[in-house]
Amino acid sequence: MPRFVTGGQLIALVIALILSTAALIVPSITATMAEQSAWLAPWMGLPVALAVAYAAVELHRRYPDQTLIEYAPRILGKPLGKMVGFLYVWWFFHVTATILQEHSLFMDSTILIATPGSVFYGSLALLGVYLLGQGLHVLVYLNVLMLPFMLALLMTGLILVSPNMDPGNLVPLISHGGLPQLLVASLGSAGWLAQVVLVSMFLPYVRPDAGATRAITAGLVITVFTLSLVTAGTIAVFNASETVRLQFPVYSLTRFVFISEFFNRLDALAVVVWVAAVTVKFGLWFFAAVLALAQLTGLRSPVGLLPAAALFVVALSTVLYDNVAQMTTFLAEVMPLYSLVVFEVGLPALLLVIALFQKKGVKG
Amino acid sequence: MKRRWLSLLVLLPLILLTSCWDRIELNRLGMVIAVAIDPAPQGSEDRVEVTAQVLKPQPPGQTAPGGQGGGAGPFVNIPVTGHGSAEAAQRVALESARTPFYGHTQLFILGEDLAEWDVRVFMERPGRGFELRRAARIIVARAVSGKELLSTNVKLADIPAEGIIDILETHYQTGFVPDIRLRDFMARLNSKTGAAIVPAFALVPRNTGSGGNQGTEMIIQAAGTAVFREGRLVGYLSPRETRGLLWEQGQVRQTVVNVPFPGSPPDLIIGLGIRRAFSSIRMEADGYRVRADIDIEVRADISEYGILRDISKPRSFSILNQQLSRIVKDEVEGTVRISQDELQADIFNLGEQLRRQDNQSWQRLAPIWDEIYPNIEVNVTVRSILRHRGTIIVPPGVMN
Repeated sequence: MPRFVTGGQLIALVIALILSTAALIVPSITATMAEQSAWLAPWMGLPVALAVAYAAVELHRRYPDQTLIEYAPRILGKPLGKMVGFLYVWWFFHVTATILQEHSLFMDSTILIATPGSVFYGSLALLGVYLLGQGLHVLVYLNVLMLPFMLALLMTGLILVSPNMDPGNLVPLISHGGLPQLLVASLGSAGWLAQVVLVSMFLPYVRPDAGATRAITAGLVITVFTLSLVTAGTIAVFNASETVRLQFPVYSLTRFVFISEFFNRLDALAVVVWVAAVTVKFGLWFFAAVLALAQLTGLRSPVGLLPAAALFVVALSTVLYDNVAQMTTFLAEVMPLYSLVVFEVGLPALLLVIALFQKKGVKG
Repeated sequence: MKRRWLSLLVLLPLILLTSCWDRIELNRLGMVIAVAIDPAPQGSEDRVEVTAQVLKPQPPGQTAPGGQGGGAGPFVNIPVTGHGSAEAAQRVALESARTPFYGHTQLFILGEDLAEWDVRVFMERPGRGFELRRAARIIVARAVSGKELLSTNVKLADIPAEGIIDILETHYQTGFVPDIRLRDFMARLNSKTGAAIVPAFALVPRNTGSGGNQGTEMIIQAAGTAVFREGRLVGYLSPRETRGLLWEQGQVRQTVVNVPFPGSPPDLIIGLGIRRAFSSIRMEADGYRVRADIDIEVRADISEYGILRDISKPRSFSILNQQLSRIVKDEVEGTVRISQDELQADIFNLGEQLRRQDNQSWQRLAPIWDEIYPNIEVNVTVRSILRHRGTIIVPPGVMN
């Protein structure tokens, strides 16, 4: 595999594969549990995500040229390893399908209400096939090009809406007796942040001199910082009780920008950021899913699988979610634990522990 | 070579000289935007009265706000009588300084009194003349004459005919008015089995002003659908009944359907915004028994939560899906019943579906369709797909 991803690109990649969908709905989910302390939840989820990332890097050090799907059979033995690989293929496709439907539901609910949902997931899937057909490097470079603008726009939006913020909405830091709820919310946040486990599919593409650990750590900290800021901003503007009611809190936040009479209606900007960000996030997860499937089945190149896989993802996304209520409930109540326990912490920890005892692979 | 050049020289002017030798310059034409046909006034020896609404060109910046029937507005109404519409159209020219031009006519109005005769007689001329286009819309003036409709102002429109067209276009989406062009009307008039449907418009009084200067004004309003059988007006569908028909035609878009939530007070309802509706029809004939299976798929989202409770969970969505399906099914079945029992007219055009799907049976049944149609067994199944709820989850003050 060509190892072309530099440290800077890895930082951007880590941010892109988590941030966009986490910022779309999650602030209202964490606020449901932790109220005004919701902005602390990402920080409390950070250690979990870091542990997951370090496990991935440690496994990568032992099997430097291989992805999770490839070294799982070498650690667990073929039948068990292939089964773990299959589970991961499923999970990657599951998350990919969820991203598609999130995009479609968001666009349908906000600015393009009369457009059929199929237009959104269809176009995104097509774009994914095209982008990945060109190779992973295109997606990586595209991400490096766009991410700074996206973050800058997001920050600009936050600064512009800041005159409407009431810091009092964030007090008290933690409600009396609210620590348990905050911990539950942190678990939710951790579920999203630990999506960083996906880097174990990309690490074989990272240059040896990239400083993977530092880059991933930096990426995670930036992600957590942004998520926390966005959540705090939403709560400061709307108060926690209203944030809970918002389907798309950050979108609503940008709609609240008004500076004097003329500077307002920035919602289109939020949509621009979203579309750019979700394109990359979808691309990365879709790539991981297709690559995993190819490696599981022993195909040399995943490119031929792209069209069929895109069709499958589109079909899966419509089968999984009929409406926004199903999706939100799944994301709030099922997804964090389902992802966290099995795919983000459980299986990687298992792999790492066994690998440590086996002392196989290249010593680091 | 010389001859060639010479012939070219002769041919070249031909290209330059092509033009219509009987052309009429634009500033000599009177654009007729709408035509209404009514019975001639009593005492007249003619049969019909044709009202042509002609655009009155005005220098830019001088458009007078809201003219009254040939007064200050950018149009004039020219009412003339004649034995047929061709003769009447001729007489419009006699009363106008500009030659009436029907190539841009967009609206064709049948007065109700006329529609009680066999309208096929009057639909002859519009199809034959080369100017009038079949994309023109047709409406029935309900309980008024077409002339009166054309003389009534539509709010925010300079020209009544254009106002009516705008109302029609907005209304096509709601499902309360069918989208019918001359082409569709003709096709149904030709049909051996189908009944023709035409949107109806009426004038209704509405109170204006307050306190001392109270008054009433007449406003134009969509008033359901006129149903024609063999060229004769047999009755009307109300707007709600029209929607029952248009669900089946897959024409409903952007309407709001009110749905009660089980266990909530009946006056608290949820407004579901319809995005699209699709339908498919399967016809089966066995002897003289005909069955129609109508499958309808409705896509919608939540426009308004009228009840103060948490219905954010997937279960509420499935309940709302059931409710919406039931309501749409009731509307369609209600209209089917009216068309079978009261109107006895195949407004759903089920005969045409049978012709396409089971031609043999259709050939056998078409001559006696009038007896067959009221006894068709119609099964309606509706599937509703609610997708989202906009940008908030629960009503204010309700925690999820």
